[in-house]
Amino acid sequence: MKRSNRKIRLVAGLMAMSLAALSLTGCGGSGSSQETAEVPTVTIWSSGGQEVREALQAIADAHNADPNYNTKARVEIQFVVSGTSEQSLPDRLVAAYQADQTDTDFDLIALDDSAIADIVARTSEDFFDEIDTSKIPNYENLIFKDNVVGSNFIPYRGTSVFLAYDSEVVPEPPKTAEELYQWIKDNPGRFTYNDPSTGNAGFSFVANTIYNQLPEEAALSDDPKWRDEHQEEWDNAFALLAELHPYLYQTAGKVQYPMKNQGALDLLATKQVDMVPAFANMVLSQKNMGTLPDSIKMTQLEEAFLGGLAGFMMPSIGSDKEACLSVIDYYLSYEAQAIDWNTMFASPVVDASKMEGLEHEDWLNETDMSTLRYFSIGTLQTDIRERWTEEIGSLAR
Amino acid sequence: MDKKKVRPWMPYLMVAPAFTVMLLVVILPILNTVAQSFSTADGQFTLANYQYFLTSYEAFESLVFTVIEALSTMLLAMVFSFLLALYLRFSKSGISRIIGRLYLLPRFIPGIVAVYAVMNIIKDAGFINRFLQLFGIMYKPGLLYDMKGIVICNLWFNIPFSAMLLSAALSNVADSYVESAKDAGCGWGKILTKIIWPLVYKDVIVAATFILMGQIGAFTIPYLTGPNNPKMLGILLYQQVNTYLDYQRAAALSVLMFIICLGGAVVYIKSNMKEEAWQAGK
Repeated sequence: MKRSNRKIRLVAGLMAMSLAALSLTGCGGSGSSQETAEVPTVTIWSSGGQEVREALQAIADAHNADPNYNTKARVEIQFVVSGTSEQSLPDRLVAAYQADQTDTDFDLIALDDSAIADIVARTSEDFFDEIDTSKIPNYENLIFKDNVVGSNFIPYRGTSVFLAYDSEVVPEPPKTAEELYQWIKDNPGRFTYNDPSTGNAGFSFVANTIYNQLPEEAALSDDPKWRDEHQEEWDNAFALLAELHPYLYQTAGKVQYPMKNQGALDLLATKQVDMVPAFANMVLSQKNMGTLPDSIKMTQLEEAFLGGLAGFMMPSIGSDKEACLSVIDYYLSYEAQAIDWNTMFASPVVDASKMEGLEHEDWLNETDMSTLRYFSIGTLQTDIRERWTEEIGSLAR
Repeated sequence: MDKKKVRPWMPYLMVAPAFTVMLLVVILPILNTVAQSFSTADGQFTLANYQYFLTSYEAFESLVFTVIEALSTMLLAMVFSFLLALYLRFSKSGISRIIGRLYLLPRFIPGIVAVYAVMNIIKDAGFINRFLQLFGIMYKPGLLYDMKGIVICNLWFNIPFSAMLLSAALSNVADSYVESAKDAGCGWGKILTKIIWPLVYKDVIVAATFILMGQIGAFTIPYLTGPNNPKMLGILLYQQVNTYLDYQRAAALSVLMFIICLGGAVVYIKSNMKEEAWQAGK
């Protein structure tokens, strides 16, 4: 026993050492550019999946190496990876606001448009500074000038849910929501969507079922009247979801809603289902890595699934506003947008035909964002998840 | 005695750092949780949070599901690990030595990696399915997203863990005890029940309670491998926070889970405190 104890200690020591080595190499990346005293540091705060971090960092490294930009600012990325029990980025911003901090390194934040309303609600209307777009030359490149947040939000990346399908099995995918529902019933067990409280791809399917029945402007409003005065439409939608329930993917003799966006994609990858709602960049990255077969294609329904934009905002508590504008300018350049595509297949917010050096350029057409359908429904999101869990999730037993 | 300085505060000073940490990260949060569980969102006193779980069919179902899962995991893990530990202790073969080195390995593999590895084997399109397809058999195990999946993953973690505890216990069984029993004409069955078992049964109870209590609050494994319904208590708790954003109810459920675990703790402490007749007389 003594001998094996020593062995345990040895292995543990080795593991600790390798961890330390890893963290050291992790630091190496950002120190490459020259340190000039006058160049202000702009810290970009963001959160989300690891791929978002890698893309932001790749563009930041390119920025810090570009002689046209690295004299005006030096970019640093601070990232809160989702799913670690860390304090979330919105919470940190709110905490800084409530503590009356005025000189922080929250120079820029890069978040999804849907996350902004919550931060504004918990701070103040003027928590984010207006952005003078005339000082951002590349703002001209931007296609999505209108967005759900407002003029103080500069999008740099699109994110959208598409219908991913196996083109070997489904040569002609559905084009409308009605056709999709019919397809699900005609092909029992071959469609699934993930539990909506575990990922927005599945949530998008549920939200679409409700919002397809409501007037268009409902999707852009967090007014509870869209729930209270439209109970009938909501009831219809949930009745439809219950009707579809027995035709969804089954295992161990019952319907099972996969957990997380990736759970549904795993089923698609192993050909246990033929069609799932999925985020475009997840599908493309995994095709690129070879974990999803090439036969997986994407299409958008006439009633598009939810989409959104990730963009920059400038908290008033940050510093060096001029430098921030220069950094935003770089992220809107064609070079930066190409890096974003090549690193995480982020949908560009500029004219893609002007971007150079793209990998898998043909995939751009599949993920055309021109039909982008914004969703900004605030806390109604929670209502949808709750009601789904009670009425639909409980059917899976 | 005169030369040695008496420092009555010394023990307290040595205990203080550990106690402070316990107070800040364990005791205070527990008190806070208990207080929260008896209040509404705006701070009024209420019993409704408890009433909800004690009368909800879903919560009852979760409780039953969790208890069955925990007991199955415990029983299977104990049987397998006891057999493994016996083999490692009494076999002198090369294979036993190799296993003796390998069985600790799972402790060093990150949990989430291991869960996905097990999932890749047992899922409907996993290794079992693909391997059988080579022989033209289409078999879907139906293990994943079911209680069976949770139990299998947990066995992966718990067998090495309890085998480690039991191996330590079995090293107390000296070869000479076994040999003299054999000389006196005992069969293996007698040796196991009369010599080995009395020496290790306390450690068996310790390992079993550890496994059982771990299952009550388990989250990652059932989240990834369990069914949508019924849910393990850990998932039900997560849902209260994540889907319903109801922190008070979550607090009430935490307290209830804490009470269940307390039952295990009582068994654990009692079995540890109990002194055997032969120990008392030595």
